[in-house]
Amino acid sequence: MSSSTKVPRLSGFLASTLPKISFLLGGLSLALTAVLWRGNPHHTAFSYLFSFLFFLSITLGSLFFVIIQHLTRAGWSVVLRRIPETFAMNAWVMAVFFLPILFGIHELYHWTHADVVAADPILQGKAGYLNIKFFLVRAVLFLGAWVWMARYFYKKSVKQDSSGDPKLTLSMQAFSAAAILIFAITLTFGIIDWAMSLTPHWYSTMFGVYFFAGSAVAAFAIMSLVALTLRRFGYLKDIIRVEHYHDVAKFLYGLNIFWAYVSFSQYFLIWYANIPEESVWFMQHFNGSWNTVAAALAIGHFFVPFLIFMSKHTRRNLTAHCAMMVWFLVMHCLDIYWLIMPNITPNGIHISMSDISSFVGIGGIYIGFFWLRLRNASLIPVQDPRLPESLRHHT
Amino acid sequence: MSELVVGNDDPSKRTPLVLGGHDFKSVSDIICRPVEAKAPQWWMIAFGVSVSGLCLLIAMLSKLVWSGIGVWGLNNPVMWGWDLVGFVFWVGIGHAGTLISAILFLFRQKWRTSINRFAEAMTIFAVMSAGIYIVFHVGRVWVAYYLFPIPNSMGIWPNFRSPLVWDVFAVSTYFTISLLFWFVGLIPDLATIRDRATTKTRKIWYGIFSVGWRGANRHWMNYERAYLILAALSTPLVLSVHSIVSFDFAVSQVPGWHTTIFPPYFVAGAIFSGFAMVVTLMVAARELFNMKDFMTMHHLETMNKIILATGTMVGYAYGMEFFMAWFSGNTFEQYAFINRAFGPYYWAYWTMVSCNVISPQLFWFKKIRRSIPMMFIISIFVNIGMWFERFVITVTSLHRDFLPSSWFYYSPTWVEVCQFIGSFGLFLTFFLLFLKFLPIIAISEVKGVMPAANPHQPGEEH
Repeated sequence: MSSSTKVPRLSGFLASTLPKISFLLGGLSLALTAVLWRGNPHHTAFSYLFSFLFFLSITLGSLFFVIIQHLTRAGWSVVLRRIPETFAMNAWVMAVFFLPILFGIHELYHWTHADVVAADPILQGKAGYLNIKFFLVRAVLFLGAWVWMARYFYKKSVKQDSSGDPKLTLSMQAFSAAAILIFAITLTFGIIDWAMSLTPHWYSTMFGVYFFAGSAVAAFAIMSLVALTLRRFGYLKDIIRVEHYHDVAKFLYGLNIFWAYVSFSQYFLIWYANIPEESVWFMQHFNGSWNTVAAALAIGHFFVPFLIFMSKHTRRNLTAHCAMMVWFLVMHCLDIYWLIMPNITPNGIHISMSDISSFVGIGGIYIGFFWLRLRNASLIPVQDPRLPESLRHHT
Repeated sequence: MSELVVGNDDPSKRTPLVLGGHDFKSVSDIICRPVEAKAPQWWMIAFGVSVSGLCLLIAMLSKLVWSGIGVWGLNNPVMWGWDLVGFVFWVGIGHAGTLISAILFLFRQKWRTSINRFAEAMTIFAVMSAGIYIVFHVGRVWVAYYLFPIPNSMGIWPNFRSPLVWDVFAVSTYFTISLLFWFVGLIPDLATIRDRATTKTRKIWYGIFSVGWRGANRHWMNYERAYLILAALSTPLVLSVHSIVSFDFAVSQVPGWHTTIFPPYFVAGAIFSGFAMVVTLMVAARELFNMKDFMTMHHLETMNKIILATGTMVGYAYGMEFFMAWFSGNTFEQYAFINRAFGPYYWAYWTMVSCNVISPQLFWFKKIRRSIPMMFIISIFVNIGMWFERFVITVTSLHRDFLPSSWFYYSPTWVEVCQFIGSFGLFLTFFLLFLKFLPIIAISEVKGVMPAANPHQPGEEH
C-alpha cells in the first residue's frame, strides 16, 4: 500500500469563510453575554458554566480518543485521528474561557462565601478541599495538564507528517500510558470542582465516570460530523470510508450504553438506598419540568439510539449516521444542561437568552479555532506507520 | 515468514500471533496431542490432588447440610463472611473468559484466538464454584428452588425487589450463555478430533458432540453468525453480572457498601482477577503442553497490560471511595473507611492494597511484563488481593455496624476454610478434565490468524 496518498489541504469556505463566520457570531454572542451578565450575573454565570462544560467535554473526549488510540496501538482509526487531535488542541481556548468562571465564582459556588461556611459545619469539614486558593491551584493544574497533553500529541503527530519517523509513534505510545492516568485524575477532580461542588453537600463516587462517559460520546459524535462535513466539501472521500463510519458508530453505540449504565447505576443506587443527603441531588434535578428533562434523557439519550443504531444499515447509511450524530450531540447538550441548570431555575427548565448567547459565544470561538487549526496541517496523519492499515480497513 | 521478531518495535508491523513456522497440520497435531496421547504423569498427580479437594468440598457441604449454617463462624452483625467472599471471588474470575471471548471478539483483537477457549473453560468452572456457594449459603439447600419464581401451593414468591434474586437470574443466564458460547466455539474443533480419531470410542463420543459438523460452507456461515450473536449477547453480561453482584452490597445503606461507583468498580475488579487467573494457569499450561508457539510472550505481555490497566482502575475506585468518604462530611462514612484501614482488620486492607494496587504497578516495566517468574508471582498476588478485596468489603463494613454493643470480630471456622480449599478442588478437577479431553486452543481460529490463511497480504494478519 502506498503511504504517499495525496491529501489536499483544507481551503476555500471551510478554511477561511467558516472560521470568520464562527468568530463573528461567537464574538457578538459573547458581547451580548457580557451585557446580560451585567444585568443578571447570577443567572448568566450558570448559563456560561453550562456552555463551558459542554465544550470542555468535547475537548476532553477528543483528548481521550487520541490517548486511547495510541495506548491500544489502534490501526483502523489513523485516518480519523487528526480531527480529535485538533479538537483537543482547543484545550487552551477552554483555559481562556475558564477566566469568567473565576470572575463569577461567588455567583456559582456557595462554598466560596465565608458567612455560608461559618454557619455550616459540613462545609467547614470540607474547607480543606473546597477553598478558593486550592480551587485555583487545581484549575491551573488541570487546564495546564490538558493543554500540555494535547500539544504533546498534536505536535508529534504533525511533525510525523513531514518526517515520517516511526519513533514519534513509539514515543506517543509510551506517553499515552502516563497520559491516560493523568487524564483520569484531572477529569474526575475537574468535574468534581466545577459541577459537583455546585451542590457542595452532595457527593457521588460515580460522578467523574459519568461526565467522562458523556464526553466520550460527544467527542465521537463531533468527530464523525466533522468528517462528514469534510466529505460534503469533497475532502477525504476515498480515505474516510463507510467502513470507518461504521466503526465509529459501533463505538458510539457501546459508549452510549456505557453512559446509560453509569448514569442509571448512579441514579438507581441513590434511589434504592434513599438516604436524604444523597437523594437531595435527584430531588433537585427531578423537580417540576426537570423531571420531564430527565425522562427525555433516558429515552432520547439511551433508548432511541439504542434501537435506531442497532441496525447495521443506519450505521452505514451516511445520512442516517449524520442525523444520529447530531442527535447524540443534542442529547449530550441536554445532559449537561440538566446537570447544571436546576441550580438556577429550580422549578423547571427555562431556556433563557443568556443560555443561548453563551453557548453560541463559546461555541463560535471554539469552532472557529478548530477549523483554523485544521487548515494548518494535513487532514490526516499522512506518514503514520499504521496509515496503510487504516486505509484498507474493512469491518 | 522471516520477520518473526518477538515483541517488535516497528509500529508498521503487527507482532505475529503464531511463532515457530507452523503449518496447518502441525497446528492440529500439537493442539490435539493432549487429547490423543496418554495422560502425562503430572496430570495424573494433579488430578488426584484436585479430586481430593473436591471430596473435601463434598464433605464440608455435607457437614453444612447436616448441622446447619452454624458450622460457619457467622454471627450478628457479620452475617456474610467467607460464603459471599468465595462467591464473589469465583464469579469475578469467570469474567476474564467472557471478556476475552466476547468483548475482544467484537473489538477484533485477534490475539484472543489462542487464549479464548482456555479462558472460557475457566469461566464455566469458576461460575460452577460460585454457584455452589450461592446455593449452599441459603442454609436449607433442599428448598433452594424457592430462589426461582416457581408457582407453589403456599403462594411464596421471591422478593423481586431484592438484588439477591436478580443475582440468581444474572448468574444463571451468565452460565447458560457462557456454556453455549463455549460449546458453539468447540464444534469445529471437536469435529477435527473426530476426523483424526484412531479409536472407536473417541470417534463416537467426539462424533456426538460435533453435532454433524462437516465443515461445509453453509455450516461455517451459520457458525459465524451464531458466534457473532452469542458474542453480542455475552457482552452486556460481562457488565451486568458483576454489576448486580455489586448491587447486593451497594443498594444497602451500610457505609462501605453503599457507594455509586460500585458497579463499574466491581466489573473492573472482576476482569482484573480473571486475567490474573488466566495468566497463572496459562504460564503453567504452555510449559506443560509445549504450546509456547501459540501462547506466545506477546499474548502474555498483552494480558499483563490489561492486568495493569484494570488494577489501576481498581486503584482509582479505592481512591475515589476514600476521597468521597472524607468529602461527604458524613461521620459514618468516614468511620467506615478509617476502620477499614486502621481498625481490627487493617491487615486485610493493607494486604488488599499491596496485592491489587501496588504489585501490578511493576508491569509498567517491559522486562517484568515479559518475565515468566515475575508475572506468575504477580498474578498469584492479584488473586490473593482480589480475594481480600471481597473480604474487606464484606466483613469490615459489617463487623462494626450501627449498634456498638453488637460489634464483633469475625473469624472463619475450619469448615469455611476447608470449603474454600475444596472449591479449588472442584474448579481444578473440571479444568484438568478440560485440559485432557478437549482442545485447549481454538484450532480453527488460530489457523485463521496465521499468515497462510490470508493469501492477499503475506506476512500480515489482516
